[in-house]
Amino acid sequence: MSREMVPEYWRNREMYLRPMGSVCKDCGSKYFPPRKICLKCGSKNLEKYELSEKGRVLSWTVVRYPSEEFSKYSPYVLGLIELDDGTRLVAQISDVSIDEMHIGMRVKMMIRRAFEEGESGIIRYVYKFVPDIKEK
Amino acid sequence: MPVYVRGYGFTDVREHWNKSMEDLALEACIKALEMAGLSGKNIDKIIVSNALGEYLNHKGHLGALIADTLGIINKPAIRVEAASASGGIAVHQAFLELKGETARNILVIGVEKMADVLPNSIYTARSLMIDREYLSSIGATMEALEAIILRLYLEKYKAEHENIMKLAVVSHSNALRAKHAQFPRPITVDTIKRSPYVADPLHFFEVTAPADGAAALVLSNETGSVEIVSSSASTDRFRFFERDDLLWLESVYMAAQDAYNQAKLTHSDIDFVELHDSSTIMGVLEIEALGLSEKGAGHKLLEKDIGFLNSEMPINTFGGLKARGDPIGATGVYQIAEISAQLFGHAGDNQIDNAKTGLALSVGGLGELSVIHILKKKGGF
Ligand SMILES: [Zn+2]
Repeated sequence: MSREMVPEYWRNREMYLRPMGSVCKDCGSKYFPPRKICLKCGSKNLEKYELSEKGRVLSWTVVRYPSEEFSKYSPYVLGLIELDDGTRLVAQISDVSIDEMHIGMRVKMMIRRAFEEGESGIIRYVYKFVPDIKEK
Repeated sequence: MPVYVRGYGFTDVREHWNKSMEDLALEACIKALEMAGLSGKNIDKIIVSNALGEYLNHKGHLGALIADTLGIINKPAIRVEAASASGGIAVHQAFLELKGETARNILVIGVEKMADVLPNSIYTARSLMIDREYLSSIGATMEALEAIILRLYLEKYKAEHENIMKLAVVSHSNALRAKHAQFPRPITVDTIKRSPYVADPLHFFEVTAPADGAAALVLSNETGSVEIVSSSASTDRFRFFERDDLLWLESVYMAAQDAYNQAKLTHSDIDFVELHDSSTIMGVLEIEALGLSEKGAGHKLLEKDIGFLNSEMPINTFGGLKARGDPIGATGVYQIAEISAQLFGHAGDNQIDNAKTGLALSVGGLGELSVIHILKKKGGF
C-alpha cells in the first residue's frame, strides 16, 4: 500500500524516540500508552511523565513471519517488558542471541533503527531494549 | 419477541481461485434463502460482515455491493467490521434489530477472500487487528503476541505445552468428516511439535491458515425452530499489555456472564461450544473465561481429552477456526450456521447426540472485543 508515512512518524516522534507515560494527578494511576482520561477514577487531570528506562522481560518471542514493513529484518526478538515504574510495553530486544533470552532478564531502553521505508523513504527510529549487562 | 435462525448456508472453506468475494457470498445466500423458503423480496435488511476487504481485495462499500449481487435492490444494506469478531458483531446487530422489531427477516452474510495475496501480506493484514502505534509499527504481529501470551501462560501456570496443543488435535479430529472443512485430516501432538515455529514457542500447526469462504444466515422474528436466546458483546483494554491480568480475557468473561443471564442458564447447561481458536493458546484462555474450567486450568481440562464429538463437552464440532478454517470476517457467521446445523439435526456425520443448547464465541484480535451467542432448539433444554 502506498501511503505518506512521514506525517505518522512526525506526529509520533516523541513516542518513538522518548516514550512517555501519563500519571493521574488525582489518584496516581500510571499509564502507558498515555491516556487523557483516567481509567480508574475518570479524571481528566493527567500529566505526562518520563517512563523508567529499565525493566525486566515478562515474556518474549522470535518474530519469524513479520508484516511487510519488517520483512527484511526477521528473525528478531520481541519482548513484553515490565518497566521499573510498573507500566508495561512491547518492544524489540536487540544485541541478544535467542539462547540468551529468558524470562526475568533485565533490560534497558535504547533508540535504534526500526526500518527504512523503501529506497528513498525515511529511516524510522524507535525504542528498543538491550540486555542491562551491568545489573546482570 | 424471539429471534430465530430460519435458514443458513455456507461455501466450502478453502482457496477458491475461480470465485470472487461476490460469487462466494451469492453461493452461501442462495442456500440460506432456499432453506428459509424466502426470496430476496422478503428480506428487510442486509448485514455484511467482512474484516479485510479493503486491504486484501481493494474492495469497500460491501453492503451495497453484496446486495446488488443478490439482486436485492431498494433495501438497507450495511457492512460491519470488528476484526476477527466481525461475524459475531454482525449477528449481534441483526439480533438487536429483530428484537426491536425494526425488521422481520435479516440476511447476515460473512465473507472473506484471503487467497489472492502473498503470505507476508496475510501477516500484515492480521496486524491491522492490533494497535498501530504501540504494536504493529514496532514489529509486533498477531502471531507474535499470541506466542508471548503462550510463553507467559506456560511459565505462570507450569502448564505442559503438549496439553495446549491438544486443542488443535481435537479440532482436526472433529473436522475429519466435515464436508466444508479446510483441513479434514488428523494431526497429532507430534506433528504439531515438528511443525516450524510461526513465533517461538507457537508452532505453525497451532494457528490458522489463510482461507476463502462465505456463510449466510436468514434471521427472523416470524418463525423458526432454532432460537438465538442470548446475544452479548463486551470490550477490553485495546493494548493487551495494559490488562491487569495478562492471561485473563475479561471481554469473554463479561460477554459470557451477560449471555448466561439473558438465557437464564449457566455454563453447565451448554451442550457444545464453538471457540474462537485463532491459536491454541487463545482457545485455552477462552475455555477459562467462559467458565468451562477454573482460571489457569484450561490446559488441565484438555489433558482429559474433552472436546471430541462423542465427549461430554464437544468443542468446535466442525473443526473450529483451526480445521474448518478461518476466513476471518466470515468465521463468526460460520459458527452460528454450524450450531444451527447441530440443533436442526442436519449435521450429518458430525451430528452430536442430544444437541439442545450451543454457544458461539467470536473474538476480535486478542480479546479487545468478544461476542457470544447462545442458541437453543425450540422446546429444548
Ligand atoms: Zn485517576
